[in-house]
Amino acid sequence: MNKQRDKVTNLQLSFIVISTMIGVSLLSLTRFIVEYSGSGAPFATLVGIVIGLIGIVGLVLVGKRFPTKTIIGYNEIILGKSFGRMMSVFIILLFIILAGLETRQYAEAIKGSILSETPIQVAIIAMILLCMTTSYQSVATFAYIHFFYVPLILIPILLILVFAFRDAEMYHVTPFLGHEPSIKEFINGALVLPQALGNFLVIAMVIPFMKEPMKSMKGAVWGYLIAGLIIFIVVTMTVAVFGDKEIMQMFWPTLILGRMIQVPTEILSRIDAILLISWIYAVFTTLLSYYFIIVRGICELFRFHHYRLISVLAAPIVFIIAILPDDIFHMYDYILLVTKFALLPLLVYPFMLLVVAAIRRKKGHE
Amino acid sequence: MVLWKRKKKSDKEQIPSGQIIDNSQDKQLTHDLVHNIDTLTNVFQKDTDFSSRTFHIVGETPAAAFYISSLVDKEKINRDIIHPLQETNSRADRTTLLGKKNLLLSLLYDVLYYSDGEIVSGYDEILDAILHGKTVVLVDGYHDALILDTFTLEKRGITEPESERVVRGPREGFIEVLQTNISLLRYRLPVPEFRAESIEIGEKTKTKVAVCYLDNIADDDLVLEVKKRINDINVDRILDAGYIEQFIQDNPRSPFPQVQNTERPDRAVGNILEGRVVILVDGSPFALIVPAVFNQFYQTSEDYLSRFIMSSIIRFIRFVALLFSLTFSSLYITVLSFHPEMIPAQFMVAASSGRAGVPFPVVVEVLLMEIAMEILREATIRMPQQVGGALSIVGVLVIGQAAVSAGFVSPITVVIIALSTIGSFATPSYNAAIAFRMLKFPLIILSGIIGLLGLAIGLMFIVNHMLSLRSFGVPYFTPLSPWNKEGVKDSFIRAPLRWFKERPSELHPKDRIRVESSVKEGPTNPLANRKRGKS
Amino acid sequence: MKKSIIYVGLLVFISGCWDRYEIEERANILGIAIDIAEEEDMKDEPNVSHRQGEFPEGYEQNSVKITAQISLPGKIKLGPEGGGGEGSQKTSWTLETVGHTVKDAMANLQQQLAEKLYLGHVQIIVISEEIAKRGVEEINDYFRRSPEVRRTAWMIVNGGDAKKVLEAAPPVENVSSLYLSNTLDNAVRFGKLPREYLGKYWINLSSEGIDPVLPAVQVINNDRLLIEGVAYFKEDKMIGKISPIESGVFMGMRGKTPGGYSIPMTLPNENGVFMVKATTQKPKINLRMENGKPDAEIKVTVDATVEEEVDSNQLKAPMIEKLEKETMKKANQIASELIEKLQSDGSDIFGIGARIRAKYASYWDREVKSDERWAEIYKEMDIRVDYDINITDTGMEWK
Repeated sequence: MNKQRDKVTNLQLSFIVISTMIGVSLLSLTRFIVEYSGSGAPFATLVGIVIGLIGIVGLVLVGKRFPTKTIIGYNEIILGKSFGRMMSVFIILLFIILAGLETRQYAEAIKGSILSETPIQVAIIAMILLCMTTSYQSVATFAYIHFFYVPLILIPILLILVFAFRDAEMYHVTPFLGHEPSIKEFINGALVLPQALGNFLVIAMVIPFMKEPMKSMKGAVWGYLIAGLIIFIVVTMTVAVFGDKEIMQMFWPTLILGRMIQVPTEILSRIDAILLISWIYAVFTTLLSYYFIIVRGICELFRFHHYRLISVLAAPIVFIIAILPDDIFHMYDYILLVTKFALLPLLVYPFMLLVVAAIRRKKGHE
Repeated sequence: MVLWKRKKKSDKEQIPSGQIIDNSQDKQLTHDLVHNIDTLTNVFQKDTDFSSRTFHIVGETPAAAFYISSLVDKEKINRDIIHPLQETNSRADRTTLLGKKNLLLSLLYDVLYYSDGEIVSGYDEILDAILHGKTVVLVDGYHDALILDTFTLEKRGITEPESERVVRGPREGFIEVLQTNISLLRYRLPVPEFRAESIEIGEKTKTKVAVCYLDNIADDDLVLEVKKRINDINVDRILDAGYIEQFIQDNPRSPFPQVQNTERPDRAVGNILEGRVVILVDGSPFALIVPAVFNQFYQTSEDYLSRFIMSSIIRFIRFVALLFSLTFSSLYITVLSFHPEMIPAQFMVAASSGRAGVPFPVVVEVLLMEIAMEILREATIRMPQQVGGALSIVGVLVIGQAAVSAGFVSPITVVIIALSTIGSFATPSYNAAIAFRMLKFPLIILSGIIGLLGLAIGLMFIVNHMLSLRSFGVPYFTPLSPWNKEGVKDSFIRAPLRWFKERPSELHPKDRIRVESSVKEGPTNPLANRKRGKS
Repeated sequence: MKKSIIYVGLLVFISGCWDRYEIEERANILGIAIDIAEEEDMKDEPNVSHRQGEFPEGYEQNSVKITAQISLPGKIKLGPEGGGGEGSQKTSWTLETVGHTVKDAMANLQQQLAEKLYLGHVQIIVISEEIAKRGVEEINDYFRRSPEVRRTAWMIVNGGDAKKVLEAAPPVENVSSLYLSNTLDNAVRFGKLPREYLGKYWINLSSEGIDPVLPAVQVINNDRLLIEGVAYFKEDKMIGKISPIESGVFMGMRGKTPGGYSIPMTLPNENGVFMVKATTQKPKINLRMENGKPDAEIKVTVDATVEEEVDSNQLKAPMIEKLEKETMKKANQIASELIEKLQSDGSDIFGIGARIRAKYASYWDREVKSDERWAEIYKEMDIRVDYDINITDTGMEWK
């Protein structure tokens, strides 16, 4: 009875998608898109959002076909036991690596902006501890946590965007396609977005715990669109204020955007600290989702339901991956590599599953 | 050997009276009154307040009354028990009375003017009755006993609750006696569905605990769970509701209270009407309310009495005060020691002047001051009231004035500490305020180590913990997360009363609708219908 | 798990608090002045970052002299008994050092101080005109990299020695840099200066097709600043200065601003002088491509008010119309002369290039591509100005 009450609602699902997608990458995303698309970055972002949308729709479709199974579960049903489990192992490994790298990315941003002398390990350990102590909770708690943080993440970001409006220049964002547009560059720029935001895969672990898994499409897509819209506005605003040339000289354009802002009554003379706090919240919710996939995934894969133990065991592994890159440049190389060749193909993966499931006539029992 | 023997003897002396009976051969009462009197007096022979009185019923049949004089109303015994029994000119004909087959029954039915009486035969029950302030009448020739409730207790009058004062609203508070407390509830809830189920717990104290709820509103599972948890308590004593609270809460390791307590009957009734369960404990002026969510801890019963805009603003201020008490001092450390760029330059220049000459880092300064503040607060609570006032003056003088002029702390720190302390006083619920006050110390240390990041991470630890808490299955942050539109109307804002159409759904009340919705328009103007100039 | 948390906590405690610097442990720099270091200045160079004469060859001659103003904790009293009166020499400490680059000089400075240099509250960075003319790119780099420097600080150009600005001692404020930055902030509010603070300056510096400007100041009487107008740049090199009234016109052409300046006007065949002050200025830049060449028309709509009238006192409706026309003429004249001057210097501070780059992207990509090429096209370009001045009120006086 109590279990029925603790089911995840559609609204919570969309908030999970929002807070998972808005995360570490928020600070540096603009830079990578501008690198490829120049002043066409806002449009590239839009295209990227549409590409990602296809991915999430596919994911929900598979989820609806197997409303009682997580991705680990239907992998085995659709692809057969051995191959399916291999795919699951691959997905879990991917997310372990991503969790490590994103933790490192967060720590680098912290080091670069506020704690320049503190060893990077401190920020990493603090965040991993936080995820570790939360990730073994129930799915309902996971949903509550995401739900709670979303307003705390969105309100400061939107506030900064409103204040930044004064410094925006129209001539920074046009032409919409960028200068000397080439299809290849543009698509590369557009693909940055689904690369950074492919982490919505977490919903494949949540759908079976929903009140009405069959209606999950609405929640997931709405959440995706809202998160996409916010990222679009952030990218557009950053480009509008700085222009593509200036952005290319920065590591974290969004943070500097927060630094440009003067609040009318000077309570806080620099508002970037507030942005940074809400960004830390966003990082946490994103990493929590990664951790959730890792812990739940491993437990389901090995039919070993000691979430607490697994989350404690996963922590040192994530930590080691996080401190593996030598410096910030290596780290970004690794991240781009992993997201490009692993996370991006994952967008097509649900469709592959759908096709195989249709051929092999596999269906989740209702 | 001798030693051992002696020890055993002393052991025997210490064994409570009840167990001697068990060891003696005559567990049962016999028909012989003299023997019975002996056995009973034997049990209580050392107790000064035990009385036994022998007399003759209608001048003939020997009988005896036993009671513990400190627990009974003696006048009542004289007037309503001894007097009618001895009365020779009673209504009932004495021969008919004595000729009756069962004298005890007819005494109970015909002679005694007593509302609360029964006939009991078990020995233990008789002892139990004596210990609970009842008077036991034994009649020669019967091994049963008449038990009459003559219990009376010195109790204080109903006074205004000390811990939950209101400017406006009822001044009644619960007192220690369970019966009175139940009467206070029933007086406000004159409906047949109101239940006050009694459970006795505490191996030695045998405390009565009453579980009060509305049968047609409260969720059955919730009531069952409450009763189950109370029944599961295995302890020798329950001296106050606080004992119960610690045994029935979901997560005993959490710093946050998961059970609400109140001294106010009106608040208890309000909660019962929402579908919650109120637990009253004999001997405690505090009622427990379950399930409790975080929102309730900064609400007062007065919020519902004033207009909604005012109460919404005040609730919001209380919420801000709560946040202040938790984060203000650590935010101050963060800003001063790690990120002075956050404050305007003018203020930074001023702050650095204030700190000139202070020998410690801000963290140490703040920690010292916060600890001093806690000591001061604790001292004021425990002091007698007359001394307390003097103490707070001394404390304020010492800490505020002398510490600054001695160069021990900077004046700005004093302001910050004062704000964070006052913030915690603005929280109506004492146990929630204390949780936040204590949690501020780890935050201070964390932000002393890694500044803003530490503060953010520390806050997240606290919030994540709160989000994973449940009180009787209800998530602690309802109605915020999980979101509940109806519930938000009564959270950090208080919507107009007529908007409250449904009971909080997280409690799964049987009857969700408070009142059948009837279309009601705003107040009409009785003067509007009059035609002009006619009156 | 509980234990591990405790261990980690202990570890953190033992190893200390890395980034914690108490306020009094920070040398709180409020203002920085950068001058060119002369030969004799460089003689007693501290040589912290390198051994004597070992600075990389070819770069050693661009030496700078840095003057930093640090607020002195303890000297500034809190509360009402504090405040001015004592002059700013006591409440702040002005230090001077030299170096081959900004960082080199800062390192030299740090070597002399017990506290950690802290740039979080830098209010103004003053550069001397020589430095500005030499190019500011290399000076900016250090400040751009530092996470402490706020982008809302001011960079200003001083005619003489930059150091003089920090040595000015206004009697009203505790630390002179705070007063100076307030002067600039408020000048923006009054419409006397464009909102070209450090962050904005950097953006315009790196954007294509727009050249930055900086406020130009001059120290008066050794205790305050006169805002001397605007110093305009080409790329990162200062070219010249425009006078206050011209900068008012310039601001009106570049973006929507409150008008801060008044023009004295006379009417033909009439007595009297009228002070006409713009209240709001709103430009519209129209671009066209004709025969593969861009040309621009700047239309400025101005709401103005008559603030003073000398020797006439007969302002009536037909007069106002005349006055509007005269003012338009005058404004057009000032503006087109200004544009001509800027065009001949090749400094596009209006951002016309950036707008063309945005509107005619293919033209830009084909023909222009670089700032240098744009400067050439800009010089040849036809830029017209059209003022529309509307006098909306005349103050409290009817006539």
